[in-house]
Amino acid sequence: MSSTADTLLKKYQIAAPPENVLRLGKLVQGAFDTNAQEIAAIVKADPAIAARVIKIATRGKNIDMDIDSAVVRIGVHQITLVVMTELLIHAVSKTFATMLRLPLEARDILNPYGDQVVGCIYFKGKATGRVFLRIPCKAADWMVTRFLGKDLPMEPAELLPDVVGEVLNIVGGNFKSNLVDAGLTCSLSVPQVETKSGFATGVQDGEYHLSIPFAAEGMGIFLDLIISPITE
Amino acid sequence: MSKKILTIDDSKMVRMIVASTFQPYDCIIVVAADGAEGVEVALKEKPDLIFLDITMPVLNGIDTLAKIRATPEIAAIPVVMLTAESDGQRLGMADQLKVNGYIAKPFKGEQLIELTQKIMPLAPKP
Repeated sequence: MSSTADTLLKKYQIAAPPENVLRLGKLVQGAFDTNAQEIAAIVKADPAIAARVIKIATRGKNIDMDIDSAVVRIGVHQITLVVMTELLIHAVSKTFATMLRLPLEARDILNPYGDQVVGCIYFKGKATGRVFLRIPCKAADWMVTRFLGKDLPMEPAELLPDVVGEVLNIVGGNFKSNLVDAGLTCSLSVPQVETKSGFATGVQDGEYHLSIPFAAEGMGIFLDLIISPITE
Repeated sequence: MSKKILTIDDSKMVRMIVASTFQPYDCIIVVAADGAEGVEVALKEKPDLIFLDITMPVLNGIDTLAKIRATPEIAAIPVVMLTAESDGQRLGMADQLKVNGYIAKPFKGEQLIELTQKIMPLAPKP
């Protein structure tokens, strides 16, 4: 963050970006000239990032592996994805905590089959990728009334696409701001939302992908982040 | 006399939240779903305050703010950005266009009231 940006944050009373923005900035800066030990030091500084890096490196199996070995095994692009994922988790949790006073937990939850509302938002620039947000249709009433109350001018199911689009817009906007503050200038698309029974991320060769399920009040919310490798 | 507030946001959800937040006050809420429509509504309704999103179809919030400031009939209307994009770049652009306030989404209704009261008085609904 530049000192000008810092001054503006104070002027408009905007909260400072999360610490992981700084870590992402260091990683991006270091992607082409930093050694594995320095990257490992960045990973070790945040337990959530460290745990996810180990999980990816061991493919979820119960194998003993230290951070240094995990960093070498999965490489800087995958670690960049992990740090970005933590920023996304922070943005989702902040959105639900602020607007709904609802603590959301990033943890495994069964994704029920059936119709779901799927929102997608694209970011393009020094960082390029997309974020998907999926809500099962059966969670429509819960989600919509949580955000807008019970006195609605139309059926909750009719409002669900708009609610999903706006939640994705808020999450994506926060995420994009974090990327820009980390030196990854990019632009953000308007969210696209549709209701469908299946879901495919459409991950291409060379892209990196992580799924993050959240649970709140027994309901599941599903997020997917897909990024292209960051280039100079 | 009722205060008139214009919300320019492509999200129905945000427009509904803004309307319900100001429901206890003597305010008239007018809405627009994108920047181009927002400028038209502002010219017609001459609101006392505008809440403006950034990520919108047709005309984004920064270009909308530039258009408002360049249109003499509405140039002096206070504008508060209500947006999820709050990085240094966006803040800098809005600041150069003499924005009157900046609320980062996610937001609480109380933040809207608090900032509005710094810009203009709000009376309870009679």
